[in-house]
Amino acid sequence: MNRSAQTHGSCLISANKVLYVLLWLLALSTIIGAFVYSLPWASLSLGCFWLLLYLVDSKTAVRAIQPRYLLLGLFFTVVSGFFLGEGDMRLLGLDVSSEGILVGLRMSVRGLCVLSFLAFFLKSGVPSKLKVVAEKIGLGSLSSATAQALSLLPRFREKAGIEGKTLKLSSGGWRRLPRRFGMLARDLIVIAAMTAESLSRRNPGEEPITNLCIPNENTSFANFSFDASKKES
Amino acid sequence: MNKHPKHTEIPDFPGGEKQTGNVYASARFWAYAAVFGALWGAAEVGLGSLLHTMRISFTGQILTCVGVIILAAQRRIFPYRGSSAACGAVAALCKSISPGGIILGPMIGIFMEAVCFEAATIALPESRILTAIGGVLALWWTIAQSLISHVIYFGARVIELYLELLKRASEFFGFETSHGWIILVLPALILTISGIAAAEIGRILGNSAQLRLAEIRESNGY
Repeated sequence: MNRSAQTHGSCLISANKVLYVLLWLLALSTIIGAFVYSLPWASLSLGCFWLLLYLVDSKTAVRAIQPRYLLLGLFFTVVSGFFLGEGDMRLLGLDVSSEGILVGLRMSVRGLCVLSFLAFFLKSGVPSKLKVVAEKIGLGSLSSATAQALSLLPRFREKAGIEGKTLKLSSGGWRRLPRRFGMLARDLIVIAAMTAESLSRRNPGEEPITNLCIPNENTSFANFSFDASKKES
Repeated sequence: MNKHPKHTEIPDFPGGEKQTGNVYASARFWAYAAVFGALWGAAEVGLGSLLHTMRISFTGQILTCVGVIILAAQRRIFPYRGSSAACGAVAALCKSISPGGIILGPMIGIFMEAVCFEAATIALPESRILTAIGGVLALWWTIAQSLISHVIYFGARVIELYLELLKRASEFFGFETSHGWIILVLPALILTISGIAAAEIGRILGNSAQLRLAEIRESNGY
């Protein structure tokens, strides 16, 4: 297996084509098995699929099996044994239904099948192709808005972090904290509105805005600068 | 004169007249969606990671409250139909850069919360009551999505199991089996109050931001 490919994210796409097709076939078999509630079919498909996925991309395979859902599956299996169907066995002095346990097992295997399929699907390269489809059906603006949002996102996080620290350091005690917090939230909304207005006036193809500053009375709407250093000058 | 200026009283920001008609309107619409979506996305990624690290319960509901606050504030400043749904779509796509990679559940959740909010406020975008209903619907969606995803993952029999658990719980608390739903009243009430409070906080922030924007505009002579 090419280890260097694994370090570069989606190794599923770079995997051998035959393996890729086989993975898809097994993934489809797994998901069909899950939805027709066939325990042997779903379990066998899931086992083969997960093993192959692990060999091709161990990271995705491990991520597919989330401990939270494993615990939930175990919980459903146990609880179904106690609460669903007629008790036909005795376990720790309690009536347990074998039918209920089977139902719980089916539910758990189905959950694992769906999760594994989703983990594979999201890494299969199909979602990136959906972007092209979205642009074709007229959602290009959403795509460019997202690109702009992604360039702004770290700035907003940074800004909120800096303002949050000044909030903590400034005097006034805990009593004034909600008010100061409110002011910070308001300032973030103001920045957002001014950034949006400025963005809507930009020509297509211009560099995305990457710097934000808290506006004050001296901030001009016409020459609204997103760079704090520019604002000072 | 009203304390809070209505959006219709506020002239467009200077420079907007350079690009006219639909081009400018569309650019403005998507600009608001992008910026407020980024703000929501930043809150989801930043605050979400923090809450998960601190292992705080009800992270989803807390983040939804933040989302509702942002949506309500945006609705106050930019009350155009479809803007909340567009903002949600952008925020959901921003969520894909979170450390865990593409996580479909939260992404669908963010988008659907925005759609719920949009559906409630579409008739009267500035209505206080409809904004509150939008907040409540968005909060309720977190529970609905959890149930729907469990049905998809584990099958329809999981509902049967939940009803059986509810029946046993009502027996345990001494209620009649037919009154088992009483157990759900408290969480439902908490969700409803949280939704209304978040929407109201968002509206207050939006009003305050509008006043601040008006002050800045005035000091610049517009």
